[in-house]
Amino acid sequence: MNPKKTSSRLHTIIKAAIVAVILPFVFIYIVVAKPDYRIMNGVAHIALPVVNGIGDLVTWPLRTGGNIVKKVRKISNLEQENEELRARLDQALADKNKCDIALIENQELQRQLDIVRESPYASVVADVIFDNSALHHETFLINRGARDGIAPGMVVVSLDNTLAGIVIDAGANFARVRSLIDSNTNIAVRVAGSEVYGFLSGNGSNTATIGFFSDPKFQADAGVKLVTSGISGVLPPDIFVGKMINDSDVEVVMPNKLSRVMVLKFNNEQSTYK
Amino acid sequence: MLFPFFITVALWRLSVPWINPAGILAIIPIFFCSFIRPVPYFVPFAILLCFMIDYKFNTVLLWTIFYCLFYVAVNLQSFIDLTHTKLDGLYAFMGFVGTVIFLLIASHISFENIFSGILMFSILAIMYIPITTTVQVVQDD
Repeated sequence: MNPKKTSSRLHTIIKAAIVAVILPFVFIYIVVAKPDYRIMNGVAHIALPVVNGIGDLVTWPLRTGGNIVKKVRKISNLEQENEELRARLDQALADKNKCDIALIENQELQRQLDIVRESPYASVVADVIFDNSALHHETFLINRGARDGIAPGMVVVSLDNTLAGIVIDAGANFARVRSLIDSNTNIAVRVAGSEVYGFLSGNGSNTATIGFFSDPKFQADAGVKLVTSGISGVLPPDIFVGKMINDSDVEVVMPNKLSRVMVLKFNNEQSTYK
Repeated sequence: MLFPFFITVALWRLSVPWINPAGILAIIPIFFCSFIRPVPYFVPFAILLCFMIDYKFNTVLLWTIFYCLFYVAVNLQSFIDLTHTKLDGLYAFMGFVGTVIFLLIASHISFENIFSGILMFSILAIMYIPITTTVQVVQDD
């Protein structure tokens, strides 16, 4: 047999054997390192910005062309959007007056009843940089991370204070957020204005679902609003989650509609994402 | 010689929901340049990019593990020579991604998931020939 061919074949077998030896350790790591996978996430925190940077350089002409097309489409829709915004602004101003009155009365009642409320959470505004929608997984990346005080377990809301997701990993300058329609999402919610609780879970489709309610007599219906329950302190309470479409489906914030979000720096001791 | 590396990174970077979810099209040059037309020093880079695909996909090392398993299986046997196959190894590629997509669907069975999985498999199969032809043409193969 040709010696060169033999040594080349041997070389190939050695490389394959090295990979074969590493694989069992990878399997053991996956089982042992649940659920935070520190080493894996640590490697991603270094590799992702580097590969992203190289990808930005390589794909710059394509993305520039795409941005130009987006801008042209945006400009052509401006006039119609302007009309719609004027109408919404008028309505919002009318509602604001009612809200201001209700706020003043609420504060007076709290003072009289001696109720102490926690101060609002500190927040960080971030831009959504990647929508990682793939099969039943739905995560997205934001451009703020550990350097801005973001940590796994923190809550992400849209600019109108609707729950958008939960931070599952935070690099130095970016964070990965699991949206409400991801199949791994399972959060405790409460029906607004009542003491009925339930669990909201994602299934990879355009809506989340709620399986059961704590009160068997409760009749879920379209229009019922859900808020976070604050049970066990995993999520802050009373953040708007979504509105029910029927007896099981819930309309929630879709990541592909988000361009900017807020991360609430909620101190959640019981978070499993740490 | 650097073109396979650049196109892999570019396809991963240009991730778009539905058409290229989580940059999955990068698996095409990863597979082609690892098994069909091996490129020197490409395998460690391919493992890194599989890991990047896993990170965006939110699958814990699934693509990385399958790539490594396929690599071990292909290199430890001598019955099938992937470097001399029809359609530049399209059927082998379909078997590779089909297995992983099947596992992803099976982990969470729903109509939306099945439809998304079939769509992803179809897009990967359709884009395989154009992308691999591009790599070959640029490399003057």
